[in-house]
This record gives sequence, structure tokens and C-alpha cells, in this order.
Amino acid sequence: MNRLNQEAQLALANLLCQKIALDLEAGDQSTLDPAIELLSEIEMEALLLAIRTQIGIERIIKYRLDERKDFNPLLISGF
Amino acid sequence: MSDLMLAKPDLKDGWIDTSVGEAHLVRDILLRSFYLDPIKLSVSDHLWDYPKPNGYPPLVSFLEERYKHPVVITNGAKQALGSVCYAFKRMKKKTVGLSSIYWALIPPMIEMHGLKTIFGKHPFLSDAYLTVAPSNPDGFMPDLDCLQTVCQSKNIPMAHDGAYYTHAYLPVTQELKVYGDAQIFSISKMFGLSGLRLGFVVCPNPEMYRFIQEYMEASTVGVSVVSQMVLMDLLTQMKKDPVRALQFHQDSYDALRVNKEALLNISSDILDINTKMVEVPGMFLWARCQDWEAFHKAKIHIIDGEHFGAPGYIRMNLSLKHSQILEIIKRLNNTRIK
Repeated sequence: MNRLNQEAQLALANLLCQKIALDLEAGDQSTLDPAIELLSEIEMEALLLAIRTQIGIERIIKYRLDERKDFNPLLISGF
Repeated sequence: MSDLMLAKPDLKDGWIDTSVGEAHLVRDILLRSFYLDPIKLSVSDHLWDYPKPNGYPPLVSFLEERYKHPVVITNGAKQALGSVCYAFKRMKKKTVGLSSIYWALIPPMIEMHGLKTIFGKHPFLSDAYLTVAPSNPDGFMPDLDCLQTVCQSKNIPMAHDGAYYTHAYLPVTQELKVYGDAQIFSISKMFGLSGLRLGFVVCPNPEMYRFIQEYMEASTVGVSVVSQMVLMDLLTQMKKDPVRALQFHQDSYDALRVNKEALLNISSDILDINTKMVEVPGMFLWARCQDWEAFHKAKIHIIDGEHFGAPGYIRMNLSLKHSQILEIIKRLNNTRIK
């Protein structure tokens, strides 16, 4: 992932987040774990933008994504 | 040697202090832009009276008009934090969630008010939540809209410490909004006027507003009227001359950025500085230290990241004169010359 430039990381983050959003709405959570694992390697700025625009706050609340230990970049410092 | 963490360390001659989060640079720019004259304020009749629990009425009205919510003036943001902890306690909360990287003085403050701090990456197991955004020390900026919605969905009161949530530390194009049940501001950080000892809390939550006023009345019977009048005078000047106020913020932000860019020249075997730190909001350098001895040799006083939850890191105040920043870089890099 580190070899991808910022633009590529943003594009990838958008695709992954869009996939998460669509799958969640379709009631399929099977892709969530691997998608989030991939997202964790993406730079914070691209990640914030993709999560906000593709998944959105409403879905984060509805599907309790904020309660997942591996899904907190929007809220908590990355250390 | 004392266990008490002093706001102002007593250093020997020749040392440069970067440990204290005092916004010298912002203050210098402010005092070049606006004229503050505390002497002329002493003609007021109300100067010598006990203040009201929420503050000097003209100042409170001014701030309430700006933020569209009730406001309580405090003795610095530190007392504002104390008052918020007290309010949490009165609301029968037992734990306060906090990021795993935190301002060193917050956990003791929380515990001093009979609450327990819950650190870490998954803090919504707590009864209340405190976010410092932009964060001290690492400048992390959470998505405040999302954080607020999450806290509301779980019925957790949220306080936003916005000490660095001003255009001196964030781009002037960024919209500043009221977040949480209580939002804390610091005049020390907003204008660099630490000596006034002023802060304030914007209180969208009426219950917290009541408890915060109760705390102010019970602990210090309000805040010095003289300090509040100086601030009122400054804010009035800024309102009358918005262009100059905007320029002050832009100049402060730019000057901090210039200092951040300069620090990238510190040898990487002394400090491992992320090049993206130039874009990170706030007034601190937060970096992994590779050589502690270099700081001692260069007589640069820094603060150990251990106090902020990250051993191995240092926090350095960047709101210093540019000439001082250049001197720090020179001294540190000179430790590499054999």
C-alpha cells in the first residue's frame, strides 16, 4: 500500500468504502473484515474522506461500525 | 525536584524552553495588530465588585451572540475542564473516554473530580467523552460531526476541548462550529494571552450549563473582572476591524507553518519527523526522539511523550519566535559535528 501515491490511495479507499456501503445495505457483512483490514493501511487523510463520502455517518451509526475496534480512524488518534 | 508538573519550569541560563504550551508567536502577532491598554479600563464602576457566576455580562453577551448558546467564563481552560468534569460527575457519570494520546494534565484532572479515565481506541464504553481537537500533543483532528453523532446515538455527553480550534491553528477557510454538550476555549491559546487566565465554556446542554455555573460559584466565585474587561476590549476591536482580525489569524497560522517547515531540517538521527507534520494543526511538534542526549547537549528543554501516553516521543512548542526555532535547529544539528 505504501507504494501507492496519494491519489491512488484515495481512489482505492473510495472503492473499498463504496463496496462496504453497498454490501451493508444488501445485508452482507462478509466482506467487512477484509475490507477494513485493507483500509487500515491507507493514509488517514484519504481514509477520512472516503469514509465520510462513501459510507457516511448514518451508516456508521446504523451498523455500529464505530464500535468495532478496527474501525475508528474517524474518531480516535491513530496511535 | 518536584512531582508537580509546573506550567513554567525554572531553567538555568542558556536553556531554551520548548516544553510549555505557551503561544508566544500568536501573542506577538496579536500585540502587533491590536492595542491593549488595561489601565484605561479601571474607570468602570463594576471593576471592584464580585463577578456573576457566568462572567462579566457584556463579555458573556458578546460570546453568546457569537456562539448562539449559553457561555460561562472560567479561569483558563483548565478550570473549564474541571467544571466539565464536575458536571459529568453531577450527571452521575463514572467514566470519561479519552484518546490514547492525551494532554498530560487531563487524566489527573478527571480523577481529581472523582471520575475514571478510559483510554484508548474504543472509548465508547465510557459514560462521557472528552475530545481535544485539534489534539494536544499530536494535532489529530477527529471528524467532529461523526464523533458528535456517535455520542448522541449512545446518549453519551460529549465535551469538545477546542483550545486549538481557532483560525490561528486551522486554515481560515475552515468553518468553526459548536460541537458537543460543552465546548471549551482558551484565551491563552486563542490569543497567546496566558497571563489573563481566561477561558470559557459554550454550553448547548442546559444541565451542564447549570452545573458549570455552580462549579464556578463554589470554587472561585467567578473570574477576575479586570481580565474579562481586557478580553472584551480586544474582542470589540476585532469586531470593529474584521479585516485586521482575519489578518491576525492568517499571520499566526502562516508563522506557525514556517516554523514547522524549518524543523524538518533537524537531523533525522535526532528526531524522526514526519514530513506531513507541516499540515498537522496545532502548535506542537510531536515526533519520535532518536537521541535524547542531543537535547541536553544543545540545552533545549523538551517534554517527554511519556506524560502524554507515548514513551519515546517528544512534544515541542512551535509557537516561538522564528529566530528561536532557527537557534534550536542550529544547536541540535551542531551536536552532530565532531
